[in-house]
Amino acid sequence: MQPVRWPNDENVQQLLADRATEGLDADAQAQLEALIATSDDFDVDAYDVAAAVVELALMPGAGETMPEALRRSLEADADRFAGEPSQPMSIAPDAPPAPTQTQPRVDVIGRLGRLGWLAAAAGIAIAVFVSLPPAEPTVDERRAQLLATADGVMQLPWKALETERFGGIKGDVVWSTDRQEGYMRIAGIPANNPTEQQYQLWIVDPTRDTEPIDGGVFDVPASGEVVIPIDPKLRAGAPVAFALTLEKPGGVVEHDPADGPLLVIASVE
Amino acid sequence: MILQSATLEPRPVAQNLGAIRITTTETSSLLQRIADGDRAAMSLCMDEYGALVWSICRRAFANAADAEDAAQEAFMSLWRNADRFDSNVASEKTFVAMIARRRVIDLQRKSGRAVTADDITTVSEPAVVADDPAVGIERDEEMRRAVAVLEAMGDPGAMIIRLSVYDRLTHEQIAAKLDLPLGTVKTHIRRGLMAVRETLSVGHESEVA
Repeated sequence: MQPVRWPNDENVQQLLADRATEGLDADAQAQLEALIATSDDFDVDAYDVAAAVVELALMPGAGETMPEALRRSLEADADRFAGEPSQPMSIAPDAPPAPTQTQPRVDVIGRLGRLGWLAAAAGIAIAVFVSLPPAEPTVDERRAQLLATADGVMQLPWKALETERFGGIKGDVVWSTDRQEGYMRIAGIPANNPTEQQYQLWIVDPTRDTEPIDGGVFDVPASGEVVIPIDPKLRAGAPVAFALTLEKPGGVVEHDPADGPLLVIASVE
Repeated sequence: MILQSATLEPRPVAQNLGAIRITTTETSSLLQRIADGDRAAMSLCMDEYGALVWSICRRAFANAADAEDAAQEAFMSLWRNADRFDSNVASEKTFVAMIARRRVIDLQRKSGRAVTADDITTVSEPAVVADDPAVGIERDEEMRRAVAVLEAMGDPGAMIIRLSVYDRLTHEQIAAKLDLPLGTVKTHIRRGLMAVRETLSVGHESEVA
């Protein structure tokens, strides 16, 4: 490694060492930033590098293989980070299949995309839609069941932030932090063209990183009320708001305000 | 009309290339390839460093779900910061560990400490375990230098460094556990990490800014 340029201020040295080992609270972080601003250039990562090498040196082996489900989640994250769009999640009509139906719902199956996050939450296989009466409750039924049976469930009405197109929005978000289960019910917003834009849900949780949690993409058809399960990519331990944006097909890893504003929000008062 | 969402089975994951030995040359270019937008390199990165990142995260959180969240955030942070990797500053493996550590420390701080001093029972054990390829303990040059520094440091410094960096106790927890003043603990950590970093630059001249 190249030689290190150390800060000459011992206070800076200590704050950097603290940051590399236990992190800094907001006051200490502000103090560090203020000191850095008045210091000559030095290697701000030197203590972090040292701590990382020490941890590697103390690890008793090559490490533990990550769970397969985690690997799948990471691959899905990587797809979106790399900008590979998932196929749109289309909303199928909620009509129970007739017992004599012989043709599988090929059109629905053909339009469904790589939604590992949603499948993991709902656990519903494609076979449910093929010439069989539904073995699982509908999304609307699951929403109602959550409202009826879970403690501490939030029910937050939508409010338009962009009123010109979304002023007529109706519906709400139902969310259970304990179960990490929730549902969006939306009506009165413009349909999207899935080849151009998709709606994306964001979950604002101040206990997590500054970026909101990606809650997935969905389409809204030309008419009707949409009820969609929420399955956050990461655990939402203390959500305070749910917001929608319009993004490129497949969604984005982080919302860029330059791409458009928040459209609607459902928030804890 | 009520519309119902539909779901699919998860997409098959990328082929696991863990059985294929990745050469040093290939490995050292992974982060650069990710920074250049190479999707395949992201899977190779998971193959190469997945166990490392998972181990760092799993050890930091008692709850497996929290550890999985941390691992996801760690890889996202790694991909976002891939263009910052500089092999003159750290090896790729060290850079990955550094990013993972930062996310873990940040998440622990936000969610409350996941490890308590009572969880750590290693005070009576040596701070550093010697190389033993028979049980998978095989360190590269950087790590061997770090170990040498810790061994030369002796206790309580080496133990303080281990409790802080590896066992993730707060400085206050360490001070209470070892019955030392907090300032003493912080000084040992600061000087110990500085000594480790200095030894990694042996052969070059460091300076104070």
